[in-house]
Amino acid sequence: MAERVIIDPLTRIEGHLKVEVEVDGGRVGKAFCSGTMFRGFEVLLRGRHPFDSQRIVQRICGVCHEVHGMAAAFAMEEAFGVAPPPNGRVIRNLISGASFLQSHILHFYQLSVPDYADFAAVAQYRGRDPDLRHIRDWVKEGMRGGGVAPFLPRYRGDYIEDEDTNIELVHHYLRALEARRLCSEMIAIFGGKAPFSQSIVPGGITERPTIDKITRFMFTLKSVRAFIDDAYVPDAMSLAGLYPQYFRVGRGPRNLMTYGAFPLGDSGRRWISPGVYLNGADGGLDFNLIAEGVRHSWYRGDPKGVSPRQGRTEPDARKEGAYSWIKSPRYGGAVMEVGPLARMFIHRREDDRLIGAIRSLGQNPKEAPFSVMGRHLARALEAQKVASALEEWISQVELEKPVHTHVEVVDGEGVGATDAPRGALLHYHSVSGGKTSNYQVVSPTTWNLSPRDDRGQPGAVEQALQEERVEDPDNPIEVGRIVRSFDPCLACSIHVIEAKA
Amino acid sequence: MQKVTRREFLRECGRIAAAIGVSPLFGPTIASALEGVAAGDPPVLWLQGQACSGCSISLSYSSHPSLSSVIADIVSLRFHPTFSVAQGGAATDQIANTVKSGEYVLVAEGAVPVGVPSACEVGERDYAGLVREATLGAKFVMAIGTCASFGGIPAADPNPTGALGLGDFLKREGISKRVVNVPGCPAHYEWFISTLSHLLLFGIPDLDEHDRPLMFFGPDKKVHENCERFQHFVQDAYAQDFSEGGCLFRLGCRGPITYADCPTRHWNGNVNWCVKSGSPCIGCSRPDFPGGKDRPFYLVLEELKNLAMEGSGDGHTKYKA
Repeated sequence: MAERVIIDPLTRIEGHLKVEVEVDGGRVGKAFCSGTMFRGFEVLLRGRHPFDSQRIVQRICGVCHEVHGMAAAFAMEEAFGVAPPPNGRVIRNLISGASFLQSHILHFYQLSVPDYADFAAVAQYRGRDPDLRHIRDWVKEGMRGGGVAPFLPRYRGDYIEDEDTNIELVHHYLRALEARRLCSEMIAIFGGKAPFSQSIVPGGITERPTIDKITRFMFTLKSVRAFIDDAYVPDAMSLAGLYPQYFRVGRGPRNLMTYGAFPLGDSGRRWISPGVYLNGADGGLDFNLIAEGVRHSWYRGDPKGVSPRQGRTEPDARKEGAYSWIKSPRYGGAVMEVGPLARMFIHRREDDRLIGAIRSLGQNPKEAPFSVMGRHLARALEAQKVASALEEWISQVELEKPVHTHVEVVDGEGVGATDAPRGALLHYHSVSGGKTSNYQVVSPTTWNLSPRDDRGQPGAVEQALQEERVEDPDNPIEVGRIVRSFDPCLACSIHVIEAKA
Repeated sequence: MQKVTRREFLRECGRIAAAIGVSPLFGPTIASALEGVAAGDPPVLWLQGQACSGCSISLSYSSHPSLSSVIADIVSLRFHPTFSVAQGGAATDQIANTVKSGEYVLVAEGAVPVGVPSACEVGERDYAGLVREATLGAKFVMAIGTCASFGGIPAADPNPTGALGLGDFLKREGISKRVVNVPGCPAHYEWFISTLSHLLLFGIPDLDEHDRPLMFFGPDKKVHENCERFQHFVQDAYAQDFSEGGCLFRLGCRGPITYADCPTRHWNGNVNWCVKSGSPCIGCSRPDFPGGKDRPFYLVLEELKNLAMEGSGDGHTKYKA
């Protein structure tokens, strides 16, 4: 008999997520992912000064905390027909890139590693590292009475047994916090502060580069890069080596999409270019194929879905058959996965490090990328790739050159499509009478965690869960591992376009 | 279901005890401690309502103490939605057990959607009910960030979910619990940690009329008066567009009506803050943040128009006006 297993809250992600799976004979039958929080961002924006949108949508998410502001700026620049000067563009890329790094590192160490590493192993530590000794003493003492929250309780499961690996991961968990702190400094050097860097505005940025800022950014980056090269990438590889079965788990839809990221010039060229991988074939991206449906979402509206430009929906908390505040975006009707795996796989010919890593672990490069470990490796290797690009970009910053172009608000509409750390992010902004008349956000997690659509197709994560083994329904550790590999960000994915007046 | 039974839990504790080389007899002691029976570091329960996790992430950027020190040296972080290993039933049990044991510090992040309770659910129940219950047994209640303090962005006009800050929500429920508000979008990690330290060492700090600690948001912390660009204001040197030098008053800077020590504290390893980076203060620690639709961030507010009289050349006279 099938057993309903509910994980609510599914922690160690951004936001509020409930996952429900039916387990029968040790395998997942149907899976349902529900976003359980919404705020109504777009309705807050209507009637405001267009520039306000940028400061407000930036606060959709405190984890991907720069990219919403960036997408908002792109949308306005298209609507108002302006582009930032080269210096402004480069510095924005520095801020975005540093934000990618903090996000990827957070996802691996703070959010995912606890599903694999046995933190209690640090009690065995015999080395001289002061941080580890400190944590060891804390754990030992905690075990005797004080408690070791937030690391326990946890599900029982197949945690790593090797003591040295566990200790190394605990050590890097601590170092990751330090590396992320350095990323936040890199963001703040040009962005003012993090989260929510204030200097990104339509037309460029407000912070002017000086030699002290450039120097500090360069050398902070050096430390972060060293962490990525010496800890993050090797740890992701070693985890993938320890759990080879997770190259066959959590396959998902095997359709991938990226809007591209990091503009390179006025031509619209991007350092990561847009593209799709659909039904086994590589192809270009056509924005006209994107439609958002609401068949199983708590909104009124066309169940089949409409283009974000025409999106007009209203929340309906009692809607029959609905189970999520997330909508169901589809690409020509297809369920797409977005995120680092999409970016690294679509561009595997220009940059073969993902395929190379998968080969070196003895896995099939055609099948293995579409998996829990494929996603972790793609994210780690992308961090490495972005970090080396940052080193190049910081040397392109010019002193005394403008960073901002004056912007006049005119009526019009614009799309800001770029990739966030978690995947493809689209902002649509229309302005009339000098005010925001419509604003829509289709975020990465909307793609990955969408509920079923009007044709009954489950969303990407729901598909990834189906048919997978759950050894012990009382301790469904596998479910969390699969869901987290997509790096869900729930605050991003739930929004309402138009509330009832 | 995913619930770990007590027996399983004890078995797990025994396994861990064995793994760290202490006698399995310690198992039950560990269990008691983890269930909040035995005293350890002061317990902290962190809940998120209509939040973006930005305040949690801000805390993770703290240097001294680091987040790991906060966890290991300062408090026992019984539950945190982003950092807790516990999930599902183990997480809701952890929340329930902490609430039951009492004497904890409740940290609430995010607004409470009173108008549409189902707009935020945790563990298959409304956040409003959960946070209400969690305030009752708390020794101290802290609202972190502007959403939890005052409603913030979710409560912005037209407030589609009827979002409230925690303090207003409790008043509405007839609960007379003092909420210490640490606003900011996000809250600065040092504001949070220092307020927490004050609560643990000395109790509730002196608060202003919005229940914000005076030490960070007091009358002497007006952004404008502490601003490194104040001298430009005195000299009538104004930035006319973004990225220009000078006082940002004409770009709508909310410094003259905002109280927060950003100008002296700075952010992220003290490398910068909003106005230093050329971006006007948007008043993110204010109770009315982000302000109505008729108060755009980058336009001079009506009530401030006579604050700067062009060409007076006498900043102090003009400022008093």
